[in-house]
Parts: sequence; structure tokens; C-alpha cells
Amino acid sequence: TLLIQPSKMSRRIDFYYDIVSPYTYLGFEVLCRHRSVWNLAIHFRPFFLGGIMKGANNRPPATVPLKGEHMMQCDLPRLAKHYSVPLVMNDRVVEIMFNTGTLSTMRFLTALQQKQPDAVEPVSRQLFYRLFSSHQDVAQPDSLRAAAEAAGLSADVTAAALTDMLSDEVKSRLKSVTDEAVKLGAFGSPTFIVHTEDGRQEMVFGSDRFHIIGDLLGVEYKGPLKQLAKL
Amino acid sequence: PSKMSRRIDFYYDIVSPYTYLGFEVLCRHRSVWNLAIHFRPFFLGGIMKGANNRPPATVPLKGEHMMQCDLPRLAKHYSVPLVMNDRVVEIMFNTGTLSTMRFLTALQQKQPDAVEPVSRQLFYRLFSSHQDVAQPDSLRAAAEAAGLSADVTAAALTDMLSDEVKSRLKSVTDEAVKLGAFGSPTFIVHTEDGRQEMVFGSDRFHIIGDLLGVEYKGPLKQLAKL
Repeated sequence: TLLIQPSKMSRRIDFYYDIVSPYTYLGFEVLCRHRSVWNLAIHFRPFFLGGIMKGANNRPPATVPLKGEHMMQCDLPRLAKHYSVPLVMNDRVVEIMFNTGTLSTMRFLTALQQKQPDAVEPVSRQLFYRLFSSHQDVAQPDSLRAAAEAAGLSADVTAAALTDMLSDEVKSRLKSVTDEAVKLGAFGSPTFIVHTEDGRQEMVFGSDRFHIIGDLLGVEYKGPLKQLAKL
Repeated sequence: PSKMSRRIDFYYDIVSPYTYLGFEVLCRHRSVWNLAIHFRPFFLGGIMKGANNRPPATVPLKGEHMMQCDLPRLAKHYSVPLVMNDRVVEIMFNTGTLSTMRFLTALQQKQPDAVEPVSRQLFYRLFSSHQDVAQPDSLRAAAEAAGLSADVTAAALTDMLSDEVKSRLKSVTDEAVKLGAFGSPTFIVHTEDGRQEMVFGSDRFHIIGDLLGVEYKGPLKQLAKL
């Protein structure tokens, strides 16, 4: 495994996220594109959005029908085009999002985080793609295996993660990352914890606040960086 | 406005802090994007009811985050003199803006070019000076600060009580609900190929730009009015 040591001058962002959220897919891709441009050290923190919603007494935005329709039919398609992210919303996606849930998905990512942290980003990318582009399941072991393979993980590492994800240790780690996010004030996904130059930890919510993240880091957000799109 | 103007209908209520941001950024883009802005004062209470929605602050952690972090950061980013505090929240939630929006509706009928400067003063009163925006004296003060004559102001203060104005505010509000609105600000963007695209929120100027075929380049702080 190639270990990349972030320089002391890296700007640290902790990225709390759940695969189930379409806006998070956008935020994930835009954040990753900024790694070199903003010299970021991104600490991925897979969490469980169901636990966040409960802890914050929140509900998905789509519970307001007109808002939900607008998000699905207008806002998300426009944003996907603007950011050049292959996200396509349809009824199948909504069914997967609301029926299956992502508890096992996030446990799998948590298991990977423990053993092979540099795998978390590429596997997350494949899981987002499966759900929001291919419109396939992301919860079953075969789906997790397929995403890991598409990300280039060895069969051994994948098999180990599929076992580890069932352990009390991983279940409890996911829960504690989720609780950590609630303590930091999180009420949804994505939640960014931006570590500023003067030592503060600033919480930012949403995939539409990169201009604010830029302000907090003392850098400029110049747009979606489509040319750095991975997929 | 020339035939080449890009039309945006701006549905809004003074009571909303995010709307203050959207209002100022939109106005700054008038010349940059060659916009014809059609102001449509509406009543957010009616929108919330029609859309079965609730203010975002009803989720406590979200409300705190908006007040203490998100709005101050955005105000700084956009250089808009918006300062949230308990006094503002009290005015927002206790007094309401039905009379405020009726006043703006009355102005819209008689002197449409007054709507923008008076709205600016009302936003400033509420979110910067932290003063009332519902009482007749408050409306008079905002109109005066916007440079309106005493005659025009007095007429609007009378007209706002009429059935005609009350019903006009209601019909603009209903029109917004029919267009799919569930909050403030709501933009109806008229595209070059004749579509009417609804955009919600003060954080979608990059999308409004895409719909109009122009580029959103940032907050245009140098064009700030206040």
C-alpha cells in the first residue's frame, strides 16, 4: 500500500457522510477534486444517517412533498449537470434509498476504514455510482463485493472487510462516529469539519457550501472543477 | 428592458434571512447578467401552509447552526449587513410580515420601481437595525429611507388595507404555490427557449446562471448597495 504522508501545510477536512444521500454524492466528488487544488488532507468518516436523523430529531427533506418533487425533478438533475457527477434520480433509486437502507453499507466502509483507510474513497465512489448511476443495490454482501472489486481491492481485503463488518467492534465504531458527529452539531449528510489555520473546528453542512469552506480555509472556491471528475 | 433582457420573477417575503441574501445578490446581477427582475412580494406564511412545510429552524440543531454559523458566514461572504440575534428571531416569529407584504403589494400596484429600494430598507431594518417592520410607522420610515415621497407612502399605507391589495397578495402567493414554491426566495427563471424554471434558495445562483446560459462568478461584493 502506498502511504501518502500529508505535509504539515495540508488543510484538514473531516468528511462525515452516508452513501444513501444524493446531495452527499455531489459533495463527495467536489471535495475529492479539491484535494490537490486546496492541498487537503481528507479524513473520511463514514457514519449512519439514520442515527444522525434520530439524534438531531430531523427528517429527510423529501417529507415535504413539493420540496421532495423539486429536489428529485429539478434540483438534483441541475446540480448533477453543473458538477458533472453521473447522478440520475428515478423511482428505483428512491426505492433503494428508502426501503433497503445503508446500515450494512456504512458498516462495510467502517470495516475498511480500520484496515485499509486509503480504500475508503474509491469504494465509496463505486458505491455512490452503483446507487445513483447504475441504480443497483448497495446493501447486500454481493453488492459490497462488486463495489470493492470495481474499486480495485484484492479479494482478500474484501473478504476480510465483509467478515469484520459483522463484528461488535465495527458496529460499535460506526455508532461512535455517528455519535461524534451529533456531538459536533451534525443534523444531516454531508457534514464537514473544517480545521482552520488558527486551530478551530468549524462544522459546515451541505454540498452547497464549498464557497464557505473556502472562506474558512482562506482559499477561493472557483467552481465545480469538472475537468477533475473521476467518473 | 431590451428584448435581450433575461427575465427573473422574484417571489419573496421580508421575514426570511436567506431571502435578504438572495435579494441583494440578485439585484447586483441586474447589469452583469442583463436582467429584468419582476418583484413578486408574497406571504411566506401562506406558502408554508400551501406546501405543508415548516421553517427549517424547527429542527433545533439545524436552527442553531443556521443562526450561529451558516447565516453569519454567508452574510460575510456576500457582504450583506445581516446580523442574527434573539431580537431578530423575536420579530420574525412574533410579529410576522403580513402587513409588510401588503404594503409592498400596494406599492407594486402604484409605483413598481419603489418595491426594490423599499424592500432593501425593510430587510435592513429587520436584519441590521433589528427594528419592527410591521407597524405603519415602521413602513413609513422604510419608505422615507428609500426616498419615497410622503404622498406615495401615505397612499400605499391606505391601499394596503383594501380588499384589492389583500386579495392581490393572496393571489401572488397562490400563484407561487401553483408554480411549486415551498419557501422563500423562489425564482422563476425565464429561459431563452421559453421555459419557466423554478429555483428555490439563495444558494443556487450558479444554477440560475446555468439556466440563463451565463456564468455565476461570485458575490459581486463591489456592487453591494449597503
